[in-house]
Amino acid sequence: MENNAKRENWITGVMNSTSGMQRATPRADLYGRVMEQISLRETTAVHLPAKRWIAAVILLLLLNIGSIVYVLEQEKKTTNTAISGNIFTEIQSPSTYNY
Amino acid sequence: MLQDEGLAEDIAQEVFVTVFRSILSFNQQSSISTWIYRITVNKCLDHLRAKKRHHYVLFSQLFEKAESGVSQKKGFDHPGIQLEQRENARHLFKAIEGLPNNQKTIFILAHIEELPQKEIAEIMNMSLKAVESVLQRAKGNLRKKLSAYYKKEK
Repeated sequence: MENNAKRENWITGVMNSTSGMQRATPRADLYGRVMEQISLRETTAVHLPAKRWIAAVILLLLLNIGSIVYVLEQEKKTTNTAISGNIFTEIQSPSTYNY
Repeated sequence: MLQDEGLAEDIAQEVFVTVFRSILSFNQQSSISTWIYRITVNKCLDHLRAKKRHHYVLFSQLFEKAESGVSQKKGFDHPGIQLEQRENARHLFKAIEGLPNNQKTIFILAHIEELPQKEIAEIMNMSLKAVESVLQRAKGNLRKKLSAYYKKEK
């Protein structure tokens, strides 16, 4: 019983041990260190977040694929025109056959 | 909260850099001190979570905690504690270290920082009732841990 009371007293003493304590204060150079870090961060390169990197890569890929498809289609058209042009020339051109 | 003076200074530095960089996003719905407290608490909790994730806790400490509920490593000496209270405060900080993060944070804000519960509720983004209940649980757990420690030591 007495032991219990002792224990409770001790616990209460420990629980109240922070009363009257002073606030911890930072070192005097904290302000200087903060200012240094701010200026350091402002001069370093800005890093894009992952989402923006992914979006940029997708956009580049789409532009490349689009331009490749466009070039291929243009080439296809040119070839078709050339073939039909040749056929037309053959049909329309006067015969050089010597009758 | 971190129980490490050097680390606390690093976090303080980070907090003020964050405050400087995001001061324009401060919407004045709470006081500036509440906002700074919130940033500080979040940074400390982030650090504690990262520490837990990266298994910084030594195995010996883990075994000791499991055994007594209170870490046996050399206690933390808060610089603001009165000399005659140092020994008791060391036991208290050891016990605080073993609390879950939300109980630890709320107990420190209430008993070390001596903030009113209303402000703690704003900082933690909780209702006043929830803060009261967590604080009661924290006190109960601390008493249990200290009781176990007393039985073991005395």
